[in-house]
Amino acid sequence: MSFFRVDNLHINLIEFQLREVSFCLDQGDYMMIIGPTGAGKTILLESIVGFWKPEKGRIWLEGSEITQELPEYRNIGIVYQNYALIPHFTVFENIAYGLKKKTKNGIGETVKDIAASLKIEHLLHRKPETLSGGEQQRVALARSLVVEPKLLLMDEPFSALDPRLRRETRHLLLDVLARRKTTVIHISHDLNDAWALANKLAIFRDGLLLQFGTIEDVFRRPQSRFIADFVGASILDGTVVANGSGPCLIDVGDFHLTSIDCTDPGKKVQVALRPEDIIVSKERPSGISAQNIIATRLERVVPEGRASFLHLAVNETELSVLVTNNAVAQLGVSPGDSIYAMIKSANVRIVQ
Amino acid sequence: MAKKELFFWITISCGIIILAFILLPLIEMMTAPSFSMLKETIQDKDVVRSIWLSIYTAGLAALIAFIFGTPLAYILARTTFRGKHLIESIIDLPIVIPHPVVGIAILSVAGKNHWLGQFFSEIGIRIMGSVTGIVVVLTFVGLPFYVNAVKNGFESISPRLENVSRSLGASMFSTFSRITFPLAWRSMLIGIIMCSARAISEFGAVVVVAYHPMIAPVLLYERFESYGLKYSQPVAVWLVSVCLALFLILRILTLRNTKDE
Repeated sequence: MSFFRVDNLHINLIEFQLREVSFCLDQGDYMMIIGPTGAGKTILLESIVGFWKPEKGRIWLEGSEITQELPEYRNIGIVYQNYALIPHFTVFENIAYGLKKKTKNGIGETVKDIAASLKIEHLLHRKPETLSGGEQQRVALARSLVVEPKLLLMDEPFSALDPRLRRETRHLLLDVLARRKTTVIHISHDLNDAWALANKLAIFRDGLLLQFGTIEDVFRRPQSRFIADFVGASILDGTVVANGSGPCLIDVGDFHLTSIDCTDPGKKVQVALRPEDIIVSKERPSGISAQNIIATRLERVVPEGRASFLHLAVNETELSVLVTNNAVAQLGVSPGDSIYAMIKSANVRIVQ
Repeated sequence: MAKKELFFWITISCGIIILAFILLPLIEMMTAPSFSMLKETIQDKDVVRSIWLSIYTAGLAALIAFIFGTPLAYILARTTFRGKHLIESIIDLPIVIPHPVVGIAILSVAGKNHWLGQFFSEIGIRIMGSVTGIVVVLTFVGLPFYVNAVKNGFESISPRLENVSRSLGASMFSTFSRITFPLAWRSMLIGIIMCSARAISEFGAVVVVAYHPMIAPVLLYERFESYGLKYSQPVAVWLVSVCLALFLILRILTLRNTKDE
């Protein structure tokens, strides 16, 4: 019996629809939901808290069904992007709001504890409108966490924060969550959030849950080109050539790849590669086993912040590789040069 | 540059014309009666009674709008459903219907020929020519102003505040009283002011349903018809002054509370 289960959920709100959404989480899981705007991600969170009535389907928490339960009895917290702090309450009153429904004693200490762990204890007497975005966000987190929800839902909680504040808040959040073993579902646009925080990943589009699995699974084995694009992987079409002993040999048109995944020879497959799993060198490397070594031509270098993407081509087939800017400089290559790409069989994954 | 200045002067001139258009007749009327006439008028029991009747029937209309209109405004602000625009249009109907028609429409259901009118007369409620009738008419014409003002007020409060409150264990009632109401009460007060201001100025519909007891606008009209402009002006001055004073007090009270927060 899993800790949290959504079973075949359908929501119909005229403008938005969710269809056939099913997934399970274990206690302490951190699930990241990504997907384009309008995919129905917020509606999913609001349905889990109980603001929308499902047309069909069931929701289970800790073994009991909560599909028809009122939001106030579910013990599921929600944090919104715009924080939704109560404007006529002080920070203290905001944090204590839910606590007052549960207990009468020790509210002051409990509020101070959570405020200290989120570094907002100096703000307790202030009104929300006088706080910065990052401070408001931490108040909203404190308010949701202080009642110790069984499940915490977050709808793009960091999207209004600058990158530095984002990193800080992630660390604070991880610290607080680790102590409480809170199960989390978090919507984000930022893949870095997923890498930094989550162990499970779900991809939504047009009200459908396209793929759900561990972070590794979704990032390395995206189930479609759309998901691959979304998580930054490349997909190649190929045919299984042989699956004797050892790794599986796959013909992807312009070259062959070996993969630890396998299926019947002759079968058409798609393989997924992650740009950070590919290593490049100018000379042909020797003495490396279990590696695919592919001779390619460098098409162009696309800088992206502190790293760059190298676009490599073997005739018609393109590969993209993520390298640090430093490594590009050391490599000393320019477009048109030949370059060797290496990828482990373990990182060549058959998608379907 | 010259064109821009011309544009500027046209806008200013139009603004001044409009202000003068509104203020000139009002100032003229307010300053026309002599002090002794004003004093004499306010000692007239009929005048005092009619102004008082106007104020409290309008107040009652606003109270009814508050009690029944607040939940409706909340539903309209928070939900979308098929036919919502139709309901909003129905609520706006009293604004566009000519006033005497309102009176006639109300008499149509309150009269002896209608089952509702028969029911009312059986339980001893008289609409025609009664204070009850006046309140019914004033509520009818004032409701849209209250409902619309409060609906806008509710719409400006993020439903996410209520969602968060409920996720933290507060019931809908508790959420409404602790979060929604404190944030919306100012728009409710504005709704009450708008509704009672509209109600206090109603003449056409009231005169059809209840010529007597006389509310201030009816008394005003009667004085004008029987004795002329000079005798109706002091009553008008008192009515306007009392209304302005009341609304001013309400406004000041709300402004003071804004500062406190």
